[in-house]
Amino acid sequence: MARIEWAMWANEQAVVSGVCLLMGSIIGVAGAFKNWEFSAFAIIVSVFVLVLEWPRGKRQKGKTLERKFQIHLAKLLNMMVPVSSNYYARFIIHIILSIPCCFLLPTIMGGMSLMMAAVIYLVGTIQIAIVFLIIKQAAIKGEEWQPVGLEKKVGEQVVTDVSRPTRPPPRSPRPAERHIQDNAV
Amino acid sequence: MGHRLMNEGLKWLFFSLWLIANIAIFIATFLKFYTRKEYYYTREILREALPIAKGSAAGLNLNSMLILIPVCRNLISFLRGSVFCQCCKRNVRRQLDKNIAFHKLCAYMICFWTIIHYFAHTFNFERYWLAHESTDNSTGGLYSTLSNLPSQPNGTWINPIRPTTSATNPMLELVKNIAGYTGVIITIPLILIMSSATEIIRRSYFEVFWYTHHLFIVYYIGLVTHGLGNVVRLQINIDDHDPEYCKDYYEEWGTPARPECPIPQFSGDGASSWKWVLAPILLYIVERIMRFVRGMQMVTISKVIKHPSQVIELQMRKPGFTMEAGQYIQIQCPSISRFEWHPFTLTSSPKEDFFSIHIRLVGDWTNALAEACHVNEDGLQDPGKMPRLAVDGPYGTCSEDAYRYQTVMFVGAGIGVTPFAAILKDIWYKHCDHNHQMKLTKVYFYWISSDTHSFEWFADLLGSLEDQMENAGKSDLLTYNIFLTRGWNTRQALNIVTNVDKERDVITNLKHKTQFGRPKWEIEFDKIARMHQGTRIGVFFCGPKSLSKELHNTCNRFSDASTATHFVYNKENF
Repeated sequence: MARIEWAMWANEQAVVSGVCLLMGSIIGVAGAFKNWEFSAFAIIVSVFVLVLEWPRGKRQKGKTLERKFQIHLAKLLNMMVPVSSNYYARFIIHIILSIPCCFLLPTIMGGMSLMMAAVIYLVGTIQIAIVFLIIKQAAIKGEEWQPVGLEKKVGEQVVTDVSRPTRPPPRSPRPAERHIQDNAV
Repeated sequence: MGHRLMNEGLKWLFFSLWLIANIAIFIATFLKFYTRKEYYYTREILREALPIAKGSAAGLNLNSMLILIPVCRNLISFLRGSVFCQCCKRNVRRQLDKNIAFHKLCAYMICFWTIIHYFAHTFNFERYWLAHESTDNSTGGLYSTLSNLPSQPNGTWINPIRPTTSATNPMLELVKNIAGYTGVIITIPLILIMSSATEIIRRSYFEVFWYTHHLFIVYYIGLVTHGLGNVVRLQINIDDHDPEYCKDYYEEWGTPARPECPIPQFSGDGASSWKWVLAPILLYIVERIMRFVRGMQMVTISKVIKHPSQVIELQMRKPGFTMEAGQYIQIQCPSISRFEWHPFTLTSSPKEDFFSIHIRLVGDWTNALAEACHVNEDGLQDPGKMPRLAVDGPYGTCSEDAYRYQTVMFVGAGIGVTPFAAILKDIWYKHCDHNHQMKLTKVYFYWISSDTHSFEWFADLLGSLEDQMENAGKSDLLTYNIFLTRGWNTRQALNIVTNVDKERDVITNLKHKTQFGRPKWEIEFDKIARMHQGTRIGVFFCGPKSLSKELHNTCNRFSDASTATHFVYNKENF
């Protein structure tokens, strides 16, 4: 059984709760609910959570599907390593931020689901800890957030001036090889 | 546009019906709570938030009812095979293949209504709380009077936040109120289900998706109990107490000074969700019991064959098992996981005395299964050493419909070729059987693969079919086009070029030559459309989504109302 990367689910859950919290907090402020100050705070929380969680971390195996425009935020998060990359830190941050959100009706749902996201992050870190205790190998690297797409620029070769093949495949490899050699500069 | 309507009209009709039902039920419920006199005082306190919350609740009931039906596989299979459906047109039955799409659609709608319902109720709760708090008789006198109606055993109260409450803010009141806490209890699982059903989780960590989806049990329990608190009240004595008239004289209610305004009596609306969801829940329970019973039946693995390119074939026997070509089964292996069921297409023909599946070893589960079947051990495998398997099914898919067309196109990409293995075999058997009248006269088979190795195991089958057809002089029944998109190295390319004039293909050893690169669908469709003018041509596809979309569009583009040439697109669903 391959290990489930709980952080991937926690990330989805946190993004959903961020959106939920943003809607709730705007309604809380606009509807002038009693103790609406909490929802003003929740607006800041939800924006913070969305910024923190929008860039998807790199999966340990296989391709990672990036969210739209995540590259810009990933650069930002990459500057704040290790706070932004440690999943245990995320668990603490989410738990602390979600508690005040539970004091107001329109934000309670967002707050509770953010708490769920934190719990899923905790499950992920506990799993790592258990694996670590069983195998007792210091070399095992813990699960942590790693940017996707930032490494692309290294080693990328821009190939220009490739003339269109004139014959449909299958082509004899010899002219093809020559063709590649001609183009390799 | 015309041909698009011809092919897709029914789908859009169903979609519109569902959408109209959603809008209609919202508007009907909205108007009921917006206009009825019984809710006059409740509306006084809650204003528009009441009808909005109630309308969205009705939408939730409707979709919670519908969402369970498309996931009842046995029911869908039964419907497809039932007499009623056999009579109705292909196009109607084709809609049954879109069950998962409909399930998702209902799920999106549930999320939408939940958002509206939740936020409307936050306003409601806040307004009940404000009414409860208001003591100033000059402005909030009516609210205060309504909130302080005497509590009686049969309940004349209207404000669920009672004057005797010890809670000091709305949040504490929320946890005491049944509608409040069940609301939280059902929304949290809903959000968890949603976040774990996103594509990345579903594809990469299927277990997370599968287990979290079972929180639907919590959701339904919460949904049914959510209304038990009778929080929204209706007035039951409007004949004695006309709210529109009496609201201005709230200080004199129940006094001799104003006998026409006795104290208003209220009662709960009653929980009604169970009426909506009871039938589908029962259906679903029956469905799960059927799956369980079928899973308990004995299955013996009679043969395990290891094919090249990481494909194994399992041949199995099960008493009382009947199948049709193109169907699929669900397999569970208790020694790997007790809860995971995996779908596989049957590759054997109904005429054979066993049933077989081809499994590509790509994931954890499939590799564990191969391990359990001792695939990598040499020599004859001992049947006693085989793992216990549970088989559920077979379930029908649209490929059974192939027999209803005169001309069909089968397109299989990669491992998606498996359903066509069974169908091609079956078509051949039926074709040879002279007692059997078959409508089908021409089969175009397209197989697109990116890997030369996957040709090895399937080419055997095609080769034997080719030989049989030639011997019987019926080689015009089947035309196949095999496309190799990549994966040849320079030596193979050289080999291909030098052997291009030989009779048999170098890769598949078949008479039909392998083509290289991707098929140009425009050319293919154009050719077929011209050869079979004025007929309905079934297009069947199994493979990745992007190609499905392309084929679907091409089908619609090449269907022509003026010549009555019709490409009907069908997709295998997993």
